Amino acid sequence: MRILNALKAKWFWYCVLALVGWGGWALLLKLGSMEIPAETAQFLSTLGLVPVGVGLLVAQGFKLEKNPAAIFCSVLSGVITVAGILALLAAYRVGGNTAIVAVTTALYPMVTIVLAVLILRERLTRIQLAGIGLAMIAIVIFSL
Amino acid sequence: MHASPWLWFAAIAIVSWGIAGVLQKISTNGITAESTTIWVIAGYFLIEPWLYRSGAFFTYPLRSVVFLVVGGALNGLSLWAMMAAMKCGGKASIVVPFTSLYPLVIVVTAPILLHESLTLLQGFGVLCGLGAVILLSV
Repeated sequence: MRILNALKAKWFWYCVLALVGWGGWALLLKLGSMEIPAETAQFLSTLGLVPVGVGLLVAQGFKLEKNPAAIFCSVLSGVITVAGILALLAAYRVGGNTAIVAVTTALYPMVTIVLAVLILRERLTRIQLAGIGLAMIAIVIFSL
Repeated sequence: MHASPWLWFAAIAIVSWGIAGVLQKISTNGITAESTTIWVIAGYFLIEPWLYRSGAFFTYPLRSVVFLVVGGALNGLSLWAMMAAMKCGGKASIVVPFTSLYPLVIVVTAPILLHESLTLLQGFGVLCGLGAVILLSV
């Protein structure tokens, strides 16, 4: 019954869209970067963000909140994300199996959680600890 | 343990995106998710001048260029869809693990589109990794 309710919910289908979209992004990034250097590949990939950014700006009525600290964190996260994407492209390029590289890099919540505990004083649950353990097992297997 | 070169690059991606996650979390405490997305995209563009190679685009296969631009649009669309899911009543504890399972798309399509295969041990590693993604986000 809960599954049926979830299938009827709008949020569920937005999640499916995000999941398929990011899957498509990672795959197209691999396909596109096979014949194009990493820097240029990321340059072109960023151009694809323009319609989304403009769409959001229009939806917001071109009004953005003025919170310098939050804006700084957002912009910095964008810059750092690009560094991560360049590393992902390098991992693809040096011959990592696409599925394994995608799964390994998707383990990034592990770092977010550890930093959230250290910086934001959030608590780590037992389930999350188990997740970190499982992530370590996956990384050790991939390094064999 | 001798790690393959790709694993070191993957580690950089994990740490970068992990830090970005914390920054986005701090940011959404101060501004809306939509504004955060817009400023994150602005951050992407801040790096563009260093990535630009003048005139080189015409020398690359059009098919690869289209793959990358469409891929970038899918990245932005996914960012928006994840935030829309949360706005429509989806709990973060469900939405985040759900959307973090995107490598499933790669695991299913890579053998068909890229003719890559996994060993039994690597398959087990993939299962552990996907399980970890779910547990980490709960």
